[in-house]
Amino acid sequence: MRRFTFEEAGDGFIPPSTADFDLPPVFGNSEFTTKPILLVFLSVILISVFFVLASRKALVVPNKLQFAGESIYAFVRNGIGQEIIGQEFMRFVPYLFTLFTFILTNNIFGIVPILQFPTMSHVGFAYVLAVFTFIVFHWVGIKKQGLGKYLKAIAFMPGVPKPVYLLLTPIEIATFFLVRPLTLSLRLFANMFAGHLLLLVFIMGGDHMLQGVIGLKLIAPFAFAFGIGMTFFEFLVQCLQAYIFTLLTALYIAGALADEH
Amino acid sequence: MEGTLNLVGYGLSAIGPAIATGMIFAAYISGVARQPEARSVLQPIAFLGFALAEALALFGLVLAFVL
Amino acid sequence: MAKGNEEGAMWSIFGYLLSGLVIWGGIGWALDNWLDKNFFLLGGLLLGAGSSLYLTWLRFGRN
Repeated sequence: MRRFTFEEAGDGFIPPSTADFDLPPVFGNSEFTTKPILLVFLSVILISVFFVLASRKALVVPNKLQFAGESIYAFVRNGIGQEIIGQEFMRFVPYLFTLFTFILTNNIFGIVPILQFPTMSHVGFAYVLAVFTFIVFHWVGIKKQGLGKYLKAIAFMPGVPKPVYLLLTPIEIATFFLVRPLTLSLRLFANMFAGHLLLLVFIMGGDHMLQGVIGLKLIAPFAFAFGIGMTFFEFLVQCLQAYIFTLLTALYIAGALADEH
Repeated sequence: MEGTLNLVGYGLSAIGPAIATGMIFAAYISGVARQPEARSVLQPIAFLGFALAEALALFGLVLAFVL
Repeated sequence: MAKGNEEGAMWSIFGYLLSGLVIWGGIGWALDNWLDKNFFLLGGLLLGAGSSLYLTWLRFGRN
């Protein structure tokens, strides 16, 4: 690698870096009370309370809360579950629904004032979610087709001359057992991480310019305005990433259920 | 400020495949919008074009780490 | 895999290409380091890209 170094010139603006994601414990001195972990607990509480309230008194003519809860549920059940998985989709709706609401809530924490930290910008949380999906879709495939048949269907594509398997089988195996969980978690992590970093750049840069000379002070509002615009863009990205994670989980389950893919 | 120039090169090399992917799917979408029954004919072509363009982008990614 | 869904198909093509390049490029890189040559990496990358494109064609290209 060719490394390059610029000498620091000027008044020393410290650009946001990965160090900004290592937050100190909120209370106590334990590493189990950092902000992301507390946010996970908060999200679980919020989701439970919301859906218990929304489904407690189910009316024929739904009120606003019930309508909101039901439309999220219907979106996951019909838009993702039924459309992708097909016949046996009802078995997987609880998992897909939990995944979608959990990721969505934790992502949206990134733009909620005061909280303002997307949990998934710590890669460990995303890894755990991908491991769950990995276990679920392989378990479903093995249970449906049997271990040998399932592995054979993954490793050997039908309709190929035999010597070509030497080229293709390593790729297939790496795709199913390594690349799929890795891309699933890294896509979520990278989107949240980059989004949060982007917002930090605009807001901290604007703040730094505000303390500079008069010319820089005049530019600072544009930085803040762009930061606010980017916040709305982030909202879009956060919803999209939650959707894509759930959609790909459903697709992998559907692929494992299909007899030949 | 420090870093590696490889990442700058990767950024530059990603421009081409990005534009290519955009154009491929723009053409695919407008084709399907005009003639929805042509979808099954257009889809493999669009995916193969996407795969070709994406392969170049991934070449850039791999070489940025290796070289 | 579900053929109707473009989004999923795109990500699985991406996965194939990535693992093809990484597996065969990795083998080429290892051979380079072992035998002290410099052309195995390029060969491995081309082989990986070619075979994953073939795999993509097998899965999504043929009707």
